[in-house]
Amino acid sequence: MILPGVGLIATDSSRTRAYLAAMLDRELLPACAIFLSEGQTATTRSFPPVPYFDNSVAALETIRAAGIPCEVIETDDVNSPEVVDAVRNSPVDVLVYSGPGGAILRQDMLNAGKRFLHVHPGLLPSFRGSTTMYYSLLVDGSCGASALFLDADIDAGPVLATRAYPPPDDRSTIDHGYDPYIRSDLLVQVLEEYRQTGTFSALAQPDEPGETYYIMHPVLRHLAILSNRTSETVGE
Amino acid sequence: MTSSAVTYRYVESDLLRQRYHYMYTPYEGPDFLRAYLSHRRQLRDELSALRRQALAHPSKDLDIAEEIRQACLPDSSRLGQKPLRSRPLAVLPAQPGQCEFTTMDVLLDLWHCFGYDPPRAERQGSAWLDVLVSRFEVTKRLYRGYTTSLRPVDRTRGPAENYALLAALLMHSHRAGGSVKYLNAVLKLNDLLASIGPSTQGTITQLVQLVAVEAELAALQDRLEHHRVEL
Repeated sequence: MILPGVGLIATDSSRTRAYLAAMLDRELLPACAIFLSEGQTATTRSFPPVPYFDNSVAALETIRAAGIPCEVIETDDVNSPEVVDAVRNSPVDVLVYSGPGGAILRQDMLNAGKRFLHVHPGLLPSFRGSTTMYYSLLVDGSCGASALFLDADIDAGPVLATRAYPPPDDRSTIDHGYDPYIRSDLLVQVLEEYRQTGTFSALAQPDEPGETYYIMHPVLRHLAILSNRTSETVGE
Repeated sequence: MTSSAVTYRYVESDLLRQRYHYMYTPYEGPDFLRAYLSHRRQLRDELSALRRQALAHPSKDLDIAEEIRQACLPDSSRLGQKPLRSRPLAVLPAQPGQCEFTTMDVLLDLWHCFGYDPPRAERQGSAWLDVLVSRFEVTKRLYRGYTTSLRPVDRTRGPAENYALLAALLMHSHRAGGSVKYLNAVLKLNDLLASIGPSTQGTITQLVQLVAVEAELAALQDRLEHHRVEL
């Protein structure tokens, strides 16, 4: 089923491939897509196989095979004028966001008249910022995801849903496997609710202090991966 | 040195010349942590040797560095004058964003407060540390000073001392219950300083970085035990 009013803005990444796999599986397809090709390498990008979803097919190939109308823009800058124009002219109200990692939407884009549905790999408002799945594993042995609409402040927009997940059995596959998988799982949960109700229901984040984290240093990342503690044992 | 082929690659080029943002770093298994520990222990030993040399030549910089060491570690063996204690505050009690500031002034103000004015350190320390961490994490630089909107006053790089003073401050706060976010920044600050090379730095940078490296190593050892990671 095509979801009216919902599009996708994406680059080819593990996250986009996970999103597309989940949306195809649940028959929750976007009405259109804006694809940032990031140059010639995008169509040949490959990722190590993961047990959570099929990541072997390039995202653009999947989009085209599914018959999703798609505008391809040769850029890796999600805030470029061409992308802002494409967003402004897209026939949808909400775009599922799966743009380049680490990119922050600038005011031009946020003022383009659309809302951006992003799934963040951490429970908000406690874990904002970058590499938060690793931080939550270190801090309390947990994993989680939050679906939100983006606004000018990092991971501070209104939240549509949050969900806790168990830590993965193999933490070395988080970046390209478990992280995109749990985000896709929460995404289709939110899209399913939209399909049933016809609306997105979002709430402002509670006014409680959250921590904004910065990209995790490899030493701490290794510690999070190799940790033998879980949420059950972390308080011991 | 470790016998493994894995090396601690994050200090191999001058990070003040070439920024490094730690995006998508590879997973290299337990050998990576062994390589890290080996690197930092070697760095600690090198800095300790430099401290022994510095102790033979009294100076105001040595006094400042030893005063900071005294505030952090119980093993300070030499404490002469206390320049930080008698230094008047230059920026505090202003809050971040209330005035333009010189980075070094804020760092020395914070050291004064952590050493001699704990109530003020409690009230204002974390807000200032959060701002300095944010400025460093976003740009991987500490500029000479910042405006009221927390943008660099100009593109003049601050002195290397700033990185060491901030690293040791964050470790001091981390031990007092500061977040893993601070430890994360310290690892990057110490990488940056190590990548420049300790022997080319001034006394304050060398000796305060030694404080930060010792505290960082202790914190990582604690975390390895806490997370039951055996190497």
